[in-house]
Amino acid sequence: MIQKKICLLGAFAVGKTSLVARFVKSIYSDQYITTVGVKVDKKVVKVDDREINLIVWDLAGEDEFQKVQMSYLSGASGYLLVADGTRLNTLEIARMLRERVNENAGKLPFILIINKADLEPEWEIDDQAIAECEAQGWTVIKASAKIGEGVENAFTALAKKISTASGSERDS
Amino acid sequence: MALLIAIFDPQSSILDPRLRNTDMSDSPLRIVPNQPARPNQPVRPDQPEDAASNEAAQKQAELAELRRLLVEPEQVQINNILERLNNPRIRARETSRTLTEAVRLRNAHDDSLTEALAPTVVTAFHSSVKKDPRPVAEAISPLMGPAIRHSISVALRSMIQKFDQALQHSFTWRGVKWRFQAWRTGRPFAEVVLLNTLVYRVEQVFLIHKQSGLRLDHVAAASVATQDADIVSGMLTAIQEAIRNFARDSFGPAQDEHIDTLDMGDREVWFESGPQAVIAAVIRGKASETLRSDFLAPAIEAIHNEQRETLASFDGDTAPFELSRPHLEDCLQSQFEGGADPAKFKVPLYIWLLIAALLAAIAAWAFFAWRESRRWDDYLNKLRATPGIVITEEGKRDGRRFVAGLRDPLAADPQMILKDQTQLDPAKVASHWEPYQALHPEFVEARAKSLLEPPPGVALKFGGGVLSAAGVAPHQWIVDARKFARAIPSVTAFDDRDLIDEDLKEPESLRRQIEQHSVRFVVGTTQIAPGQNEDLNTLIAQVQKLIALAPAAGRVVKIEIIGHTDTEGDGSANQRLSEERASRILAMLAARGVGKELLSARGVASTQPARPETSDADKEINRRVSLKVSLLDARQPKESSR
Repeated sequence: MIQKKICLLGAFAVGKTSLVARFVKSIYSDQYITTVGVKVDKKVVKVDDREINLIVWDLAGEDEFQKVQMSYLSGASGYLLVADGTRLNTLEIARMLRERVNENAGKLPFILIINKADLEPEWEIDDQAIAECEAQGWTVIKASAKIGEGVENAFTALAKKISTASGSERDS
Repeated sequence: MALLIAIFDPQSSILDPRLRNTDMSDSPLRIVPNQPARPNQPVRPDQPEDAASNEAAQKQAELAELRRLLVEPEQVQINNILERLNNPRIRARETSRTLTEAVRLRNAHDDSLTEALAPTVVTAFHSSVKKDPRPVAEAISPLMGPAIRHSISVALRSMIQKFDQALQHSFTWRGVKWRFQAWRTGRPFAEVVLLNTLVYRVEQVFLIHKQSGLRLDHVAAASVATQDADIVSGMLTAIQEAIRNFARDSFGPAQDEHIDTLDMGDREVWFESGPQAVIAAVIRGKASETLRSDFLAPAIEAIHNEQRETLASFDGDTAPFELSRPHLEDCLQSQFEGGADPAKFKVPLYIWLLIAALLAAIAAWAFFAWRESRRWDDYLNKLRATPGIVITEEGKRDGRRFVAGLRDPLAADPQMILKDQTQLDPAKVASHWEPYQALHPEFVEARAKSLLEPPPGVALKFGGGVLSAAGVAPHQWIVDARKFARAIPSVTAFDDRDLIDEDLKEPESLRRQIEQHSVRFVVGTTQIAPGQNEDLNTLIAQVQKLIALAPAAGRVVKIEIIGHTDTEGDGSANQRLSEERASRILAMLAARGVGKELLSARGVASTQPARPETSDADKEINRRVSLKVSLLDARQPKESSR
């Protein structure tokens, strides 16, 4: 089976971990993220009838005291950027994280997940902001950790992007 | 290309003379020299026919020449190309030149060739085996033998090892402690022993892609519980990265940031790094450095050699690394206390001794069982041969042998046979005998003896349904024997012809004595000749005694007194005289107290002489009275046989 490393990035407390918790196979507790800065999980997705083993590195959230360690992105094939719909600055942090990834690991396929879709009326991130992102060619998926919506989609979409990217690499 | 074909083709419309007036200003033919001179000449219909045909033939020839000059080198080339395209032999030769390279290229690109060929290869393999399995068998036999041997020896070794260790530790204080530990933790005892005697054991080996932390391969020792190797590989890499970050932040950048060992009490993780991949060995206990130098380092080197290109172009496909798995398996080393390395384990001497003792015990048990069974059969045969014993059931019950059947109370005692004639332990034999009467002659005889109790001097014999008695017996016994003999089962007759009545002996003797007496008479008279008084007294005493004894023998005495004369004289006178002489003696006996009812008298004249008369002396003897005594059965008036 093909294995791919992906990372889960986002601002502090955007709910990354709880977002994927129900969808991945996990053998370590969430404590690892605070102690080590990362926790590794596994997720099997199907792309074009082919199973791909996504090894998910859930990285500690970025805030004013702690920066995401970019060395963890080494060897990653793609990443999920997570923002919190109710906090506008988390989208800013996501943008900044993307910049940093581009600087450190090069351009990688990614998906932007905006969490807390169940609270959409209270969102600070409005449709215009989302449209701006999409205008830049980003894939944006609204999801909810609470009702489990959109997460499976996000994984599959990322896996598709990754296999398309590596496929085009091959053909070139 | 269209142009070339057109030039080649003689029928091509481009060069047809009839079409020469066609506007060809855009035609590539314009590059052809000599051609522009002709295009605008019209065909004149009024020209004679032969002149026209001559001109046409000439033009044809010119054209052919033109074509030759123009395109001969290309034509040769095209002919060659056509030849190559159409001749399958050439095509095959050419394909063969590029086939290997093509396969290599295709395989580097993706797996589709392998997938496409797989069914063909499988079918070819099947049909080859079907046609003649020998070549395939010969090809794989060098692999099969060692593989089977290896797997059997590994299984055997691990079994004996576990057995030995369990045995070794079962009866010691340490063993008891471990048993308690096994019970407490719910782990098998063998495993607890293994862990406690372990110096070190490589439990798991990961082959990890250095950059991404993806698991390339993973092996684990037998009976080691493992977590998802994909996740663990990632986490191992993440933790190394975390430590490196920490070290960098705390102590500044280092030249070599390799982490060799993670040490956690009784477990260690050793890393052996190559350019693209790293081996992580999870070790329980303390391994010596030789593990790294002799196994881990050579393994990562060998894997890099074998998988150089796969590693360089690694894009998540881990399947090719399975080929290098034996290198990882080599790293699953272990060492036990006292050098009991399972790989070098030998069966210790005491195990062999134990097995030998076990075999000896089994042999001894088998011998004793066989001997006891022989003795038992022997006992049964003895019982079967004993008259009056019938075995109806025998066998073994609750570890004791038992025998049951019928036994004539007169038969030999089976318990005595058991005690005296066999070596069986009577306590281990249960018997149950139902009484019955056997009809063997010896049993009838024995039963007759016990029933009739014959006096000494009487022999009882049984044969053909007849019980015979011989010898001397009291009269009463004889009477009883006659009565009871018939009551004995299977006795149909009692033969007492050889039996002498003891109580009849004296009467018989008296009878004979009495009958020997002869009372002589004076010639022609009933006067008793003189000189016979003493003899007469004896006779009378004998008669009286006989009469007295007879009742004890169950007899009644009858005495017939017979008178005789000599041959002298008249017959009828002699008759009368003889009767008178008999009456004289009768009267005499009666006078001496002999009951008249016992006596009878008759005369027979000279018809029964005692001796032939040749002299007077003979006559004197014949003039007499003789007595005939009968001892009659007291109950039957009939005379007894004697």
